Amino acid sequence: MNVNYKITFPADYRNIVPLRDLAYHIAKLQGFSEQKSEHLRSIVDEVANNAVEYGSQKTSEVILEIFADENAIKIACHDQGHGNTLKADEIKQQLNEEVPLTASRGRGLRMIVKAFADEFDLTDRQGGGITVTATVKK
Amino acid sequence: MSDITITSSELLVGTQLLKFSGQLDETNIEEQAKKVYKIMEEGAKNLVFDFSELTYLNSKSIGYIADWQQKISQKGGRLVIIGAKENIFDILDVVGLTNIVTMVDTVEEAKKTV
Repeated sequence: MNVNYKITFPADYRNIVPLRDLAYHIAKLQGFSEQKSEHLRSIVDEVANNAVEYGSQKTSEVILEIFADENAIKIACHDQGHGNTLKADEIKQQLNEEVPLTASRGRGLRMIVKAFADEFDLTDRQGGGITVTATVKK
Repeated sequence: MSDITITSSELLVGTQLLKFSGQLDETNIEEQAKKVYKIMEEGAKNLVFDFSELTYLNSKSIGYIADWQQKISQKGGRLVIIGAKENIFDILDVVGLTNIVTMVDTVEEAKKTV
């Protein structure tokens, strides 16, 4: 069964809580394991939090897309680039830098999403902003 | 806002047991972290976190755990986590925190560790 969602939400962390749960439930419905479904929940949470924190202002909106079929689930998160002047390639460069074990920040995309996703990429959006895509295969 | 409850009690002299129930994320971690820092300031040498009823944890919360671990170890103490569910262990493991925080299954094991 193919399932596609496109959700636009105000850039507020509170809006991300039901979206990460939605990703988990979609994964379960598509027959993904409990572990992979939890990975999807974490991926959506981390990429959406990143979009709110680094690519948004109070009035911004974030778009989350989920494309699911029986073999893989792909998520795409688009921010408006408000407050962020870095290009996707510069962010990717930063994500290759190591984070000390005791660091207080920097684990979301760099360690969690990269480890939990089978495919992961960042691209520049036309008109500003970043799109983060991540795919988890069954 | 995600639901989270943290209750604390003295496990041993100098060792506080904190039980987490619910989810820790961007919407609540800053407020909840204040409670943990206060307990540390009040003189707890060791912290034992009971995660058996913690159902979700994200990277920002992990950042605080790393900071608590560092501050506790600088004072010669220990941070121990009890009963982490599979998804919680999984995310702590992927960021390497299971290498620097003691993970055990029961309160009795935690008592022997601190």
